[in-house]
Formats: sequence, structure tokens, C-alpha cells
Amino acid sequence: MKLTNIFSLNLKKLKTRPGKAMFLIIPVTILITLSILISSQVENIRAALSGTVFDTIADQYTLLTVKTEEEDFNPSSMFNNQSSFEQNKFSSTDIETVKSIDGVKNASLQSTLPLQNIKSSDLFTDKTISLSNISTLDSDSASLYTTDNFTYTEGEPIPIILSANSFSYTYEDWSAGDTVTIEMGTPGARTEGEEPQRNRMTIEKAEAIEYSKDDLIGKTFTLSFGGLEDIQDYTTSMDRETRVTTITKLSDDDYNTKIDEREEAISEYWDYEKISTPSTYTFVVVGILEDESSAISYIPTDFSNKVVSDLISNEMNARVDEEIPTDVLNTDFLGLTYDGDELSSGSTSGMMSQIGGRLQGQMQGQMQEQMGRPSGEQEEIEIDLSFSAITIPGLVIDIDEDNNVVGTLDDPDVYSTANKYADSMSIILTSITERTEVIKALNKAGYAYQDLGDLDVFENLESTLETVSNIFLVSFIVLVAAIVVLTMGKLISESTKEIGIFRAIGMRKEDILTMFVSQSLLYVIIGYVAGVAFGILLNFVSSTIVYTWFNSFVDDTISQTFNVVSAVDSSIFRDINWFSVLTYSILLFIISLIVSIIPSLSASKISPVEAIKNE
Amino acid sequence: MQNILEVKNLTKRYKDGDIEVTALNNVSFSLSVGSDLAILGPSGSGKTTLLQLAGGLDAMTEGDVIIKGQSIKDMNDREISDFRNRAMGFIFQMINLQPFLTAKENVLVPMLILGVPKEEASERADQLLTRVDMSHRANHLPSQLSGGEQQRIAVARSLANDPQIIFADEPTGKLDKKNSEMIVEMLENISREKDMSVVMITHDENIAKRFSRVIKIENGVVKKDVNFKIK
Repeated sequence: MKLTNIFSLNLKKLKTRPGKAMFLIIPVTILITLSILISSQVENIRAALSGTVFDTIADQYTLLTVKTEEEDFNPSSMFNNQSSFEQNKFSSTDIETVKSIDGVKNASLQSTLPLQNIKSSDLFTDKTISLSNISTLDSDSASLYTTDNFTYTEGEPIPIILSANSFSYTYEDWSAGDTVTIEMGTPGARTEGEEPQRNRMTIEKAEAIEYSKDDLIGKTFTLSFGGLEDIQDYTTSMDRETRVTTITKLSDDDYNTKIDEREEAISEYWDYEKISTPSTYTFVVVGILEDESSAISYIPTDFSNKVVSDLISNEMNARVDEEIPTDVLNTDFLGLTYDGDELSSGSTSGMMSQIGGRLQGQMQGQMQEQMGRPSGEQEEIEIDLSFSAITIPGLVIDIDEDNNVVGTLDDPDVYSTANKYADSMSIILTSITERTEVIKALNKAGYAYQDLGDLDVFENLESTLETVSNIFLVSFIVLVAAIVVLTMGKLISESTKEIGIFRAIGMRKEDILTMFVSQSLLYVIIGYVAGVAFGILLNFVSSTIVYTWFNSFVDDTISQTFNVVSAVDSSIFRDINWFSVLTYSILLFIISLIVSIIPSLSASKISPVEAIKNE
Repeated sequence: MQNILEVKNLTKRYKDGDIEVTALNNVSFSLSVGSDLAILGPSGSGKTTLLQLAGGLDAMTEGDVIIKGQSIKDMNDREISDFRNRAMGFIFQMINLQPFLTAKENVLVPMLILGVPKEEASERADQLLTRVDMSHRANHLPSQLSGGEQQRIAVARSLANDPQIIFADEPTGKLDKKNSEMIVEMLENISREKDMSVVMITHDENIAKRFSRVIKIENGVVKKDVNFKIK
């Protein structure tokens, strides 16, 4: 029998008895509707995650900051072996090594600007802040913190990313009078580097400044580099017996005398006016870092070369005499030091070279004096750190391998050509997926990195989505098979008379088989078409609900882990996952075809005698 | 005269649980082309079984049935199906029309199975409906027709592919007198046509008497084989 004739018989059956067909059509409609809804929304949530949340983390997770292993603080190495610090630091060689690792897009040193006394008085009203820790950052790495341009262009405000931790100002608290005594802790408890005890020895207090990120971003302000340091307006002395520290405020006369003494000392070699005037630049805030563990602010690498060069030039211009006696360098006058490799400052490792010379001699002398005396005869000693040496901004002292002063180094470009060392390097990955491999490679190359990145929240959601998809897929297959077998089985069992009659008037077994298989496919197609229509509609309608849920999920979980979470557009949840629709469509038809053969085969075996059976 | 149907030692046994039942026992007869035959017998006598076996609707246990000189015993499903479609017409008791097809469509089905072109089939269906006086109800579904009307459609359908033999299994069993009369008359008319034989099963002796030959069956065995008239 012709297929078209069989098909027209099926259509007539459907037309006169649509009720029976509905037992198959409606479940198929529901399944297809759900498959479109579920597979599309699963994919939409994934897209929303990767398009928004994952982008957020991707930025943060494609950046690795590798830090040098901190050495145990060893006072003896402080004075004797300066180079041991540098051995543990990263240099351009390390950058080359890291850059050669697959999956590393870029690596750069977060080298600290070798400058001190960097201040701004106009970022906050009436409060001067000083930026103690400025590092350089190339524009690639800066893209992790700011979307704004991070390059230095002459004549335009210089972009800067500020650490919120630097928003504090210090002041001297003389509320208890001009003389303050502070009792020390128990003997022996004092160890180097213990912050609280040192704080108790000063009358300097610090207070954090409240700020609004939104107000600060885009704000222009000025930063001054260089200039002379403030002269301490008090003296500190300690009674070793009672362990009581006495801080005494200097009288105005004494204080002015100190300033005058300093001016006199400087004027011997430099124009006092010129050397004491800081270089001031206009900046624009392009980012605020709110990281509890870091106080580093960032400026463009190009600008760091310029500012150091400007200060060196200023110092050279300010010279009264071109020659400064070698013996006063690093004793009476401090500055940057250049050992033929690195330009160092008073901060971090450079501090040692600054303290060196005369001060070192002074301390060692006193220590030896102390040790020579019997105990109990200890006197009150006074170490005045303020007088001994004057820091000249922009002064570069040339030293040899053994830290002996060679002379001044009069080269404004020394910083840009010098090797730079850093305690940390920023590594940008080509993709978040490379993270694990790169970390492995880094550790193998000797750069210890413990991966603390926690992607659990997303992995959990991802695996939930995966589970939902898989459960639905399996349910879909099982349900389609079951529904087709059951409904067709029932339909056929109710059609024995019909089959008998067809057989009696000459239909072959294969015609009966074809008739019922095509009948079930016809119903499945109708259910499918309706399901696609309903699915698209329901997907559209439910997009708002899914969007609301997604936002609350982000609020509840991701926002708590990450400060910045990109917003997601609700239209993303209206998308249909056509690939899945196609997959489910193919599955539906293949399963229906295969499974409908089973009851249809039994239909074909129904004897024509059934037609004659009298009820 | 050539035989359209030859039934040879036809036996049908089947198992009803553990008991073997002989529905038909060694029945033999032959029917010449264009003749008519009534098979008479009470219910359970085996007359329906005889018709099922003769029409190739069921498998025989022993013996053979030869239609148009062809043994149906060894035919496969395809062959016997095609044979039923072309050479035989069937009229059963109520309700044997496809309920989802209109009167005309029911008549059309055997022709569609055979592969008669649509237009030709449609034309022939109209003729057949006119012949059974049902052209006015051509587009009605069986449920919209009376029992007599339905059976007239069944008669038209049995004639669709111009068969040589019509098997009718108590076609009047559920009809009133008037309708029964009409159906029997139709079958009589058909049997008068050249080359068309009619085999009808009935338990009504009055109807059986109107046929030129009556075979009476009891307990699966031929009791009587009477020729009333020669056609």
C-alpha cells in the first residue's frame, strides 16, 4: 500500500478521533516545551555566568602575583650583605623565564619606585596623605584594576591607581603635655619588627580618612615628589633600667636651630631653594584598590622613569659645586645609591645603605661601650636619628661592589637603564583555563605559588547545571520511550477490530506496521510542533523569573566573594539554545521511531479473524 | 464448469486450555464459478470457522482450500493479503466499517490497498454507493448511519475490487427484517452477476432457502448438502 494512502488514513483517524491522539501529543508537547526551557535556561545561566561573573573573576583569576619568599630577618646580614636581599628578588631575567611559560600572556615586575616623601595635600580637604609605597605597572596589568587608559602622556594628568590603605594621615599627639613617658613591655619581649611596641614609643598617631570611591574615581589631584623631609620636632630617650621612654618636644628655638643647621649644611653644596622644592605633577585617579593586605599604589612605568629623571636633573641643577667630596656622601648626605646594577632608595633594602656609614659607626661604638661595662651601670642612651644625615632628593651616589662610595652619579637616565628588582611580579594569563597549568609550570621553575583561588561557588553551580541537564536528558529519553510505547500500545490494543478489518480487506502485515509507526510519528510531530511553540513562549515568559533568580544568586554568593561583579542583561535569558533544541528534536524522533516499532509489530500480528469476532 | 472454490478435507483444531477442540472436521465441497451458497448451522457449529479458513483469514490444521485454482495453504502473508484484496470480498456482522472513515472512504480502502489511481477509485466508489443506494450518505461516518445502511456500505466495499467470490458472515444477524431483506436481495443480485460467487453464513433457514445451494453444518461436520436450483 502506498505510503501516501497510509498517511491519509492516519490523518482521517486523527481528524475523527483527536482525543485518543492527545494521549501521545500532549506528553510530547510537555516534554519538548520543558526541554527547550531547561536546556535554554541552563545554557543562558552558563552564558550569564561566563559573560558576567566569570568575566569578573576571569580578570582577577588571570592575574597571578608571585612574591619572593621572605627571608628571616637577620640583623647581621643587614649591614654586611646587602646583596643577599637582591639575590632573592625578581629581576628582568625572571620575567624572561616566566614569559616563556605557555599560557602566560605577560609578566611584569611590580618594582617599587625608589623615591620617598611623596605627598598630596589636595586629594582630601585639609588632610595631607603620603604615599609610602608606589609601584610601577604596565598598561596590560593595569587593565585588571581599571578600564581606563593607563599610559603616561605628557601634558595630561597622569593615571594613578590608589590603594585605599594609603588614605590616612599621621599627627603628633601632644595632648598629655610636651613631655611624654611611655613604659616598655617586659624585657626580652622586644624583637625587631614588632609593630605594636614600636608604636608605643612614639607620639605619632594615624587616622584613616573616610572616602567615597565614586567621588575619587576621575578626580584630578597633585602629588609632590622630593623636597626635604620633615625635621623631627622631638627627642626620644630611654632609661634602660626602668625601660621607660621619654619623648620631649623641642622648643621652637631648638627646632628652628635644627632647620637652620640643615640649610647651612645643604647650602655648602646645593642651592637650598632649588633642592627643597618638590616636583609636583597632576594625576587623575583611575582606580581605587580596596585590598586589605596591600598598600601599594600604581603609576605607569613610563612616568616612573620621568619622575626619577626629573628629580636627578633637579639635583644636578641645584649643585653649587659640581664636585661633592666623596667622604660626605652616604654620611652627611644620603640619596639614592647605584651599584652599577640597581638604583636603590631608603625604603626596603635600600634603607640599609642609607643607615650605613656614620650612623652604623655610631651605633656600633655605643654597643661596644655598653658591652665593656658591668651590668647595672647602664646609662640612658640617646640615639638621635634625625641629625646625622640629610636626604637630598635626586642625589645619586655611585657605590662599588663593596658598598664603598665612589662619588655622585650624574645621569638623569640611570633609573630607566638600571636593572629593576622587585619582591613581586604580576603574571597575566592568556585565559583563566590556563591557570592550573601555569601554576604548575611556575612551581616547577622555582617560583613557589600556592593557589588559593577559590572557584567552588562557580564549580558548584556549573555542576548543578550539568546535573540538571543530564537528569533531564535521561528523563527525556526514558519518558519519550515510555510514553510512545504505552500510548501506542493502548491505542493498538483498542484497535484490534480496525486492524482485523484492514487485514481482511487485504492490508499486508507491513502495511499495518507502517500505518502505526507513521501514526505515532504523526502524533509526535504534532506534539513536537506545539512543544516548540510553547517552549519558545515559556522560555520568553520565564526569562524574567530566571533573571531575578540569577541576580539573587549573584548577590548571595558571588558578590560576597568578589567586590566587582559585572551586571548581567536580562535579555540573555530570552535566548534559545537551538543546538539543544536540535539535539532533543533528533532524540525525540529517533526514539519515537524505534520505540513505536515495538507495539506496531504486535499490531501487524493481529489476526484478521479479529474482524469477524462478534461481540 | 470451473470451480471458484474447492474445500478439501478441511479440518480445524485448536486448543482451549488443555482441551483440544475440533471446530471443523474433514469438510469437503466445491463451488462452481458464479454460483451461490448458504452455509447453515446453529451457533458453534463451525460455520464461521469454515468461512475464516476458506477466506484465508485463519490457518487450517489439515486439508486445503483452493480458490481460482490456487491453493491458499502455502501462501505467505503478502500473497494471501493481496489475494483477499483482489479476489475476495468480505461482509461481516456489525460493526465492520472503519469508524473514522466516511461511507465512501470505507468503500475506497480496498482500492487504495490495491493501488487503483485516486480518480478512478473515487469514480468506482461512487458507482458502488449508487448501486447499494447509499450515494446520498457518501460523506457520513458509520456512526451517523443505521445498521442497515452500514451493512449496505459493507456490501459496496466488498465489491470494490471486483472479486470473484464474496464471503458474508451472518450479514443480517443484527438487522431488522426490512434491512435483512434488502441485504439478502443485494447478495442475490450480486450472485446473479456473471463470474461472481457468494458464500453466505446464516442460521436462518428462510434466508438459506433463497440460495441455490445450502450446506448444513453441525458440530463441524457437513450434515446436508442440498442443491435447490440450478442457476
